Formats: sequence, structure tokens, C-alpha cells
Amino acid sequence: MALATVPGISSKVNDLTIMKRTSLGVRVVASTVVLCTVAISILAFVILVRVQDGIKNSRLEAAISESQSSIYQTESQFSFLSTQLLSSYKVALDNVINNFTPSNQSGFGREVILIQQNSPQGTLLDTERTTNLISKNSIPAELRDLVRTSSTLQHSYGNIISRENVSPLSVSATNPRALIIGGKVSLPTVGIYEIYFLFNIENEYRNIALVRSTLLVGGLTLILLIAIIVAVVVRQVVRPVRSAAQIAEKLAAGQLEERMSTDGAEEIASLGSSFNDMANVLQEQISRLENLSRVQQRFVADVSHELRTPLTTMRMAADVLYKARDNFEPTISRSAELLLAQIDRFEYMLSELLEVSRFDAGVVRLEPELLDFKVVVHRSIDALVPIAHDNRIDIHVTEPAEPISVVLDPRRIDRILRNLLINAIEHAENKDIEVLIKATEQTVAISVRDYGVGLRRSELTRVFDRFWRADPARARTKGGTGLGLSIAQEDAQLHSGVIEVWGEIGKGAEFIFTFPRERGQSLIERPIPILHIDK
Amino acid sequence: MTLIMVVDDDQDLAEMLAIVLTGEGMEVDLVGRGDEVMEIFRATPPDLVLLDIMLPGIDGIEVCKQIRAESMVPIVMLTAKGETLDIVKGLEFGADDYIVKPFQPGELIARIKTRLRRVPSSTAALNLGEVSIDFVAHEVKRDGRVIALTRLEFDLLAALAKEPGRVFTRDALLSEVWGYRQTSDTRLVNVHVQRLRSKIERDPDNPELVMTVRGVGYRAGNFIQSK
Repeated sequence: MALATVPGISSKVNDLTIMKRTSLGVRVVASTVVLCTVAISILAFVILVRVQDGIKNSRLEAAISESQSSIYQTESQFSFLSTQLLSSYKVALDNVINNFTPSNQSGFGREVILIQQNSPQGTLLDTERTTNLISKNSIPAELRDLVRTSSTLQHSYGNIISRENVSPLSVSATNPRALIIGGKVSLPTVGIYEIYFLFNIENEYRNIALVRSTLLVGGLTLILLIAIIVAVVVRQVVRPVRSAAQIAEKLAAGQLEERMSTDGAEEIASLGSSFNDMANVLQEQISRLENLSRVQQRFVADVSHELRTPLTTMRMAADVLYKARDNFEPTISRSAELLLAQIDRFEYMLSELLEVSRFDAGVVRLEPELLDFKVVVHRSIDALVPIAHDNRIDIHVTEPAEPISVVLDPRRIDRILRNLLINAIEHAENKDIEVLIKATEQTVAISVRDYGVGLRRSELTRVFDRFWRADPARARTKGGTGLGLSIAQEDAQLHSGVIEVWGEIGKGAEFIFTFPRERGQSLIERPIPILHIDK
Repeated sequence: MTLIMVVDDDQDLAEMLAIVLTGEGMEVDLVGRGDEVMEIFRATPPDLVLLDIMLPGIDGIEVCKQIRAESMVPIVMLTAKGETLDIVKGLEFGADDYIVKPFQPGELIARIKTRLRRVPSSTAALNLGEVSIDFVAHEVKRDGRVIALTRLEFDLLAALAKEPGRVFTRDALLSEVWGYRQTSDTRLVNVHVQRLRSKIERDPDNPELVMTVRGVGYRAGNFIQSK
């Protein structure tokens, strides 16, 4: 069984909307990465500041206490000096200096600079002594000012600078960073010296740099890890959702056996089982409807068979009576005529009703052939010429010269044309009928125009309704079932076409049947416009 | 006297058919069951069989097959179903024509008479390629061997062969061979052309004798010679 009308499924539209939206997974991963980056940056910054402060402060405390004790040591050394000789002072100063410099150390370690603040005895003593030939330029001017005016120890940060004409002890130790502690020592006889201790803090800086780079690498690694973890988690959550979407699409496409898996996490399993419940209900409903349609189809076939056989017998019997009517009394003879006429009518109505019920059951099937549309039209018209002539009507045809080869079901097309033509003949009020055929690359159209009673605007939408009659009293005398145009419209739709109507009271009506050359294509044009005005 | 075998399980219809056919001067054999047909058929071979499709015993299509296995007698199917599948199946199994219930008695008589008529031919014989057509004996031979054709198949081939240049539309064939005056079912032509080809063509898929003219109809192959 081939269903002629399958409801359109707009799966293409769904695909497009999915494409337009970013995937849930990507969105979750992206926002997680952004938020984590912010959080980790703040954390790393705080850690870095704390570590930096801690390292610097502990170094500072140690340096200050060391400096203080060195100052006391120096002062006491000088106070116990037994001699007042300048040379012994020199030696003592050398000692002070040498004490500070560890002999086994390469590069700058702890350096000392002694500067005489104000020497009462001129140049008797060195006004300036340093360890390792470093320059007093190492000491920032602000620190010197502070030290001169203050009695406590002061500190600052700077670099250890070698004297200009002396090459540094090692290349790597060029101007290392230093914590500089400054204070005053007062030496008997020679007066007050400024003393500066320069602690090489390159190691501390290196530690801080290490912490910083560790934090940076660690933070980046952490963000990457989090991104991966989130992606994995999201996949786990999204995968069943995605598979649900795919399965839903398959269901929509008619694969009713598709089901979701119900393993896995509780929520996903419950999604799966609710989804499957829904699918089961749908499948049941659909198979029930399919069954109904099958029953309907069977019913149509059975009614068709069961009614037609007795009808055939009746018709033949009536025919025998009708042929012999001349031998009967007038009343019986007339009865035979009526009997035959009504059997005709009954038969016609039965066949139309059966056709309608076939359309409703969706069991109609097209039997397409490649034919010249013009030939099909002329066949239909020729068959109706006698009826038209009975009504003193001529049918004029305007058509293109070349054949219109198109795949169509000739019986259905013939039925459409017959219905349109008979309808026109019935309503033409003995005026001629014009048939116009036009074809383009994609579309074929035919219009049937009469100049008879016409139609009211309000009636235009109703002419294709079943059993609808423009004028009930009038139409009944003409016979007909009121199903003709409705069936014609169904036949037109089977050809992916449409019948449209235009009319005006007193001016007649025009029915236009338009269909694409290729079945299944949508109509893109109207070779005969709906409001086609005749010359 | 012409003998018509009416196979129908509806007794009233069969009786009515008998009345009408007898009125036309024919003799009628009534058979009510599909499985009784062959026995009566062999005992009194009819000139034409009217065959209902839905029958007790075995169905009309099967009966059609059985008759064709033994005889080329014209078969006209009576179908109440009007459903294409049964009609096409019946035609493919060798029925010549069908008529849908309810039918007009006049129409039925006309069909029967068309199937029974013998058209006198002005030509005695024709050669169509390797096939020779004898209009007197109503025989078609290939390489001296007679090909069993139904009367309808013979008429179809004859119609095409007599006018070699002409392309016959399906409608034209329906009117010349089947005797339809009005438009009718073109599948009749399609199915019988297929059957005819399967009997007379060397390769029915690449016909040389009965050619299709796409979108129009059929014509005879290009080698007609009068004898």
C-alpha cells in the first residue's frame, strides 16, 4: 500500500536551527574556562603578593639584626683598642671590613661600605672603605640623607655597583640587587662613620620569580585540566540529550521502532524511559490509526464489491425492461424509464462516494504515464461535446502549437477536466465555453471559462466543499452529487497541483488547474493568472 | 451458435447475464465455482469466457491461468473491485479485456462481439522480420514453427503490421483492436504489448518487431515486406 499523502516533516528546518545555535557543550566549557581563569588569576596574585612580602620581610628582619650586631661589634672593637695610633685604626678598619666578607664566597654576598661623615683630622684616615671594591654609588642618595639625619637604622633597595675602573668579580653578578641597611658608627677619636650593609638579595628575587612562574604554569595547567574535565562531564550529560534528539528525529521520520537506551545515570535513565514511554504511546496510536485506515480500505473494497454485483443485476434487469417498454402500458413503461435513470444516478453517486472514501483513507495511488497534455484534454472535451451540443454550447480551445509532454495519471486528469467542463456546461446558460492551455518550463495550466451565472465572492471558497451547491434547488434538477469539484481538487493535489476559481455574478466563472511538470515540485508560477481577464 | 461460459458465484447476476446473452442469440453455460471451470471447459469448449475475479474454490486469476495453459479462447474478466492490481494481474495472466461492474448490458454485448469477430483481411500474409503472419489461417510463425497467440494478440500484431509506417496511439489501438469508442484504460494496451512481445520477440527487453514510440504509442518494426 502506498500512501499518497504523507504529512511533510520539516527535519531540514530543525537541522538549520541546531546549526545556528552553539552547542551546549562548547558554551559550558567556554564559560567554565573564563570563570576559572578569573578565579585562578585572583588566587595566584594573592599568593604571589603574600609570598613576596614574606620573603622580603624575613630577609629584612635578619638583615637589620645582623647589621645592628655588626655595628655593636665594631663599636666595641674600637673602644677596646689599646693604642691611639692611626695605623692601628687603619688595621682595625681593615678588620671590620674583612670580617664582613666571607673569604670563600664567589660574587657579592654581604658587602660593607664605610664613609666618614665628618672627619675632624682631615685625610688622616681613609674617608671611605668598601669591601670587594664596590662603589659608594650603590647607595641611593635618599638613603644617605635619611641615615645622616636619623639615629636608627634605615633600609632601602638598590643594586651593588662596582667601581668604574674595576671589572666585576664575575660576569653573572653584574649589579646584583641588594637590600641596603644604613646606620652610623661613632668611633673614638676618628668620629662618626656612616656604615652601609649591602645584602645580596638576588636569591630571594630568584625565589620570587620561581614562585611566580610556578603559579603561572600551575594556573594554566589547572585551567586546561578543568576545561578537559568539564568537556568530559558535559559530554556525558549532553550525549544522551543528543541521542534523544536524533532518536526523536528518526521517530518523526517514521522509524517507530527507535528507542533510547535507559542505562546510565539516574536522570538520563529517567529521560530515556520517559522518552520511550512517549515513543510507545505514539507508536500505538499510529499503528491504531494505520489499522483503522486498513479497516477503512477493506471496508471500501468490500462495499464496492458487495454493492456492485447486485447493482449490475438491477441495471441489466432494468435495461431489459426498458428495451421492452413499448410493449407495456404507459405507466409501467414510464416506470421502467425512471428505474433505469435512477439506477444510473445511484451508480454514479456510489462510485463518487467510494472515490471520496478512498481519498479519505489515503489509499489512492497515481498511475502516471508520459503523455501529451493536449491530447488528454482533447480526449476529455471530445467525450463531452455531445452533452455541450445538447445545451447549444460550443467549446473553444486555445492552446500552444507544440505538444506538452508531461507525466500524469490520464484517468485522474480526465476526471478533473470532465468535472470542470460539466460544471461549466451546467452553469454556462447556453453560452460558449472557452478552454485555455498554457505551459512553461516548469508548469502546466488549463483554464475553463464560462460566461453563465457566475459565482458570488463568498461562494468562491466553498465551491470545493463536499455536497456544496451554489443554488440547492437549481442544482438538484441537474443531477450530480455535489462531489465532483471536491474530487477534482483531490485529483489535482495528487498531481502536486491546485484548482483555483474566480467568478462574478452574471459574468461567469473561470476554473484554473495548475500543476508542476514534475510531481512533488511546488508551484512556482501561474501560467494563467487567477484574475485572467478575457479579451 | 456461439457458446459463452459465464463464471460467477452470484446466481442472480449469472441468470440475468444468461437472459441478456440469450436475447442476443448466444448460448450460455453457467458455472458458479472456480474449481469447476476446467472440467466443464474441457467437456464443452466455449467461444468466450466471462470470468468473475472473486470466486469460491479458486479465484478468477487462477482460473484464467489454467484456461490459458490449454486454450487461446477469449477471456473477458468481470470485476467488481475496480482495483487496478487485480485488473493488471488478470491481464498479465492472459485475460483479453475486462469490464467493471456495474456495466451497461449494451457495453458488455459490444465487448463480447468485438472479441468474437473475425476481421476479413485484404492481405493474405505478411512478413514482419523473421515472423510471418498468415491472415487466412490466423497463424503466426517463426522459423516455420507456429507461435500460439490469443485472438487479441493476433489482432494487435495484425493491426500494427498492416500499416507499417503508422505510429498507433494507445487510444487508436484501443478503438481498432478492443473496439472501444470512448477513452478507456490504456493499461490494456501496455499489458498486451508486453505479452505479445514475450511471445514473438527474440529479446522482449529490446523489441525489434513491436516498437515503443515514447510518449505517443507503438509501431511495427522497420522490415515489413508484402509476400
